[in-house]
Amino acid sequence: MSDDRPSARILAAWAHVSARSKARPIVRREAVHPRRLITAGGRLAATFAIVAVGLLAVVSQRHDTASTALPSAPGPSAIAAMPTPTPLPGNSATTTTPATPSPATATARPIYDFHTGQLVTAVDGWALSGADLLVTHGGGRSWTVTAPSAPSTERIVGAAFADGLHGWVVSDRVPAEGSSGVLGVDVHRTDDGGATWETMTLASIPSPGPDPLVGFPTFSVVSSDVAYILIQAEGTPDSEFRLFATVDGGRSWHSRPRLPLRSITFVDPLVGWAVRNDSGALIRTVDGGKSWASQQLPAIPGVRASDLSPASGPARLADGTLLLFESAARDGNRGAFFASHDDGSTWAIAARGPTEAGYSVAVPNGGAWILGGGPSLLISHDAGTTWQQVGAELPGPIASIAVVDGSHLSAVVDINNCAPNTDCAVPRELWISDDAGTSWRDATP
Amino acid sequence: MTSNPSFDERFIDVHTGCWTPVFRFALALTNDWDAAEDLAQEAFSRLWIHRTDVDWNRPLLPWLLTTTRRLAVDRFRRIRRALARGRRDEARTLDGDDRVRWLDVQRSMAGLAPLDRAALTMVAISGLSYEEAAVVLGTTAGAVRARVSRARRRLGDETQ
Repeated sequence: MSDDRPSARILAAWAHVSARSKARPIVRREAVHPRRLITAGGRLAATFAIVAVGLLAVVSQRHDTASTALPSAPGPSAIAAMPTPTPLPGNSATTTTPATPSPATATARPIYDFHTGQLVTAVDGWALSGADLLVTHGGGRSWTVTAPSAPSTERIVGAAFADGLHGWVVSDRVPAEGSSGVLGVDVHRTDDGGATWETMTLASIPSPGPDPLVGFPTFSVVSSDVAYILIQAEGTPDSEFRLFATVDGGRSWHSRPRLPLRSITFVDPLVGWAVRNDSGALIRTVDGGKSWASQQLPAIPGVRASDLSPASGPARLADGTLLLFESAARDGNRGAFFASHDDGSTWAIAARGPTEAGYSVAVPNGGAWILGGGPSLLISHDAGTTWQQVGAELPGPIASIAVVDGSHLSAVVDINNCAPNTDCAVPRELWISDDAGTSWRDATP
Repeated sequence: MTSNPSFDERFIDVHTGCWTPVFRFALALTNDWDAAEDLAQEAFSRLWIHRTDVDWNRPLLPWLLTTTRRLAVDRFRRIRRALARGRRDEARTLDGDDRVRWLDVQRSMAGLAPLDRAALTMVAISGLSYEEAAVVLGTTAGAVRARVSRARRRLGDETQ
């Protein structure tokens, strides 16, 4: 599919015409004198003037008619008229996108082809691409489409595998287009690498609004028996979060208390972390998600706690230590690594992140720490003291990294090199490293 | 009452630099040119009202977009009532050719849910990452991605 597809043409036209809106001049009235207004316009005008003091009065200006920009209220007033805005490069009325995209922007894969995926062993892996689930048993060099049988109204929204055999797929069944109704969420399990599937209903959720759907769910797989699924049923404008757990390989799923969470990470069947979607706070459970408590981290001198946020939960190092990375919200600030030796009850600062801003993904791989999500991929072999840049061949920042063993890793790469007003057609790719992250190859299905 | 001149300068800078992305976001949410201009204007007026509370050293576009979304929730009701009364989106600030083009694009986008339209244009046109768009829309990156995917399919299906 090339970028002459209908959605690209419509978006190009939308980008072109939406840049035609001019910022309206704004007239601010502040020093209106009530006494003059009483003289000029009577008590009603005085009341209006008092209300208007200190407030911004927005006056529409249509067709560039300067006279309409002036307020009609009498009396001396400090009028600050906004100048005609200077268009900004790439986001302005003068920087327009042609109605039909340039062939130079054409790409081979559409945006909805590859969503996510990962290696789960040195040779086994899975990927969600479009409506298909694909599996590889050749380290991502070849892919086979596999999927549970499903009605045509069903849509695969997420998947996870514990190994080459045991995996789960989440799908949703949406109501008729434009209507509300019940949003069905199914989970399918396989224990033979996708050859056969068993399906059960995970949830039936009364739609919170029209056009509901399930956002791509978050999985945390502890073993082939224990896994967690976090789904978000979305309507307009509300959404609803559900957390489910299985301890029997997905034969049965148990609902957990509903909390607005955006990621979950379990390091064993009972101990896990999540990030609250409303506050961004890190919370911890020690009973398999039945109850949660805030996780306190030590303060970093010179950094506001509100500027730090966990990208995901902690990972367990070979010696049992838990390692957690919090990224910095502000450019110029450095993220920080925290370590815990008591399953997360207490934490200490292990190291500051590198000086370059923007890293948000951190995983341990054997004795090495790998940091991505920023402008480059970094590896530290000395617990965060020094960093080595690797992965120059990667086409964009890392969205997520999966560590299989000391050698094999997979990464979902965001292709965020789109210029403003362009239609980015390949936002994600799957890349695999067979040498502990030093070099990478494109394994996108 | 006197104002701090630096507020004026800062406000002008933000207003100049952020009008187009704020307007585009409002347009995506409403699919109504006139309503979007009103909505964007209202978001900037909220910024001015809160000028003493705002940290002007941080990027203000996310705040403006989030404010626009919140304002839009209420605006949807008013737009629906207005449409029920037969009000038309006149897009009077557009020249003739652009107005024709807008009405054409508006028809194409009308089949999408508001949040699907917003997610699609934020990612595909404004170049936001899924995570950035998710913060503005008050949702998760996965949900934004799902909406973008669905919006593209619907646009393609409806025009092929």
